[in-house]
Amino acid sequence: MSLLKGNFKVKKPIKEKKLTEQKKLEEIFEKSAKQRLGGSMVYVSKSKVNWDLDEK
Amino acid sequence: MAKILFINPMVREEEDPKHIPMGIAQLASIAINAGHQVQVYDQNAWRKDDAIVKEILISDEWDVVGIGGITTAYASIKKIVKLVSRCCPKTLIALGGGVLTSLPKETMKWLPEVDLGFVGESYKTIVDLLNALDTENPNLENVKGLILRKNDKIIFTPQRELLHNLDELPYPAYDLFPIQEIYFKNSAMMYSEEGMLATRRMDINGSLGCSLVCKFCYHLGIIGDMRYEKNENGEVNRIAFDEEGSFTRNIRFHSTDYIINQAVYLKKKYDVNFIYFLDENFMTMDVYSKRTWLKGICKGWKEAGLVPKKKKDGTWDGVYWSGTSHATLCNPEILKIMAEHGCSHLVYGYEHFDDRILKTIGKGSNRKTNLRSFFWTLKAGIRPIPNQIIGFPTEDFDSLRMQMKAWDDLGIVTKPHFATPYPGSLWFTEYRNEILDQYKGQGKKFGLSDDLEAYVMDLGDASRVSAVISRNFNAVELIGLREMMMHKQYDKIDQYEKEWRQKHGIKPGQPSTLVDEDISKFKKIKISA
Repeated sequence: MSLLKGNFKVKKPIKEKKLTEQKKLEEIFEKSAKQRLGGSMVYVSKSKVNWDLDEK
Repeated sequence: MAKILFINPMVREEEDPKHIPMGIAQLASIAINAGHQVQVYDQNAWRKDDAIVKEILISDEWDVVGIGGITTAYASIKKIVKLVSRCCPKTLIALGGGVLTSLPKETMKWLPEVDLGFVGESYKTIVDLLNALDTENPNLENVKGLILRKNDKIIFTPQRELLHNLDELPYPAYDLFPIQEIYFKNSAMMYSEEGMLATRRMDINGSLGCSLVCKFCYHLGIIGDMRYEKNENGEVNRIAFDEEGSFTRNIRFHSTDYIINQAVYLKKKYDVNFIYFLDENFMTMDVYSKRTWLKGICKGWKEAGLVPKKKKDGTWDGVYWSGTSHATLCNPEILKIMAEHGCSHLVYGYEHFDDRILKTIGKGSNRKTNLRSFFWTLKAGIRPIPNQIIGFPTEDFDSLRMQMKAWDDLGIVTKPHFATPYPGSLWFTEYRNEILDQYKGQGKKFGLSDDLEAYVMDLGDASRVSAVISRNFNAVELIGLREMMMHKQYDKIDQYEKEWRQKHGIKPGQPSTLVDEDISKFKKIKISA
């Protein structure tokens, strides 16, 4: 799997952080859930939660 | 040789990536054939975060990073352009595609990081640009078809002529896109049984342009509809497109041999089992060719052994295919031939089933031709995909009911699009001031250059509301009415009509519309719960 595809070799290889199994599952779940929105279907996109319970 | 990185921006985030971007794939192929070094990063396919995009940008030293896309990719383009500017400060940033050509000066203003833009068709421009960059002191003002920054001004280089013979084009550089990793996995298209079962689908574009003059559509120069306007000093200061009453329609199509050879190439190299023709309108090309083009494709499909044969397990040998049709331009003979040669579905832009609406949009079709073509297509054994739109300028309660009645009668299950004035369309020119009124203050609020940029940022694929051009309904009403229409709630629409009439002070006996038009010549159908 190569993110860049072309007719020559680039100078610097692309380093992609490997996802943990949990993170992979989380991505698959959120993507699938998003495609089924409607009715009572609702889910939390974890990476987009931008607050916490600590009141400042 | 020049070194270029093409980036395909993200579009339709809510959907899986389904189509290799044809424009970038063609330009990459042309650049390689001209001897240049090319890499492609398909952000729409991979959808990686900024950290990865940065890694990609610094993986080499680029002469140019070329980004291109349609207007609805603008938000992604803006983000990518800023990353490129930060990571590759010495690299030229070039922008192309509909997003640039529809509003060239405005886009250059909104994206100050962009050094140059490709205006209109760029098959020849890409080679001239890369060749120029290969010289010691490139003068890009000599390259036709660009928009550039010069001192504090934005200038246009001379207009680029269109490619006369499309068969001169190499096949798109399909290999530079994640076919196995992404696109084959998203082969299925929920338009027909065969489309749904497709596991190795790829796309072909057999033609450019359309002979019709739909007000919501745009061609951005590819049909000779773009002209350069000069100021009193003889400098080009504006790009204009066709206006009402003055249309150029220079449509072009590949020879049937070229298309069949390309299909055979896709079958042999990638073992495709479905080909989706991206063409804007198959039938307009067929009529222009005096009804020889589609028959030629079907004949070639058979001679090349591509006509699909179903197997017991539901799979098939050969290649099913699909494309676009037109209500008035199709006929039973050609539909039957297409079905016999593997055409599984045809997309029709019916848009509406009320003649009063259809008359106003330049589509060249009416309720009768819509209904006729629908049944012809079904009878031929092809699934018609009847695209629907609501929210036209003169849309009213009666026209919405007419639309619903047709859905009931024809078994159409739909979530219609909203009428949207995309930049480059006649509607955009006509309603530009109204659009700006609706987005007043949004530019400043979101830290953008101006309100028009806010509108372009907001544009989606018309499945959600952006600028409203309906004279009778606002955005909230359109969304609510669409919901009721989808659920066949005639009674709720009748009820809302009463409230609406009261709100607008419509007197008893007067039609439910704020539009002053003569509707007496149109047949009225009473439809109610």
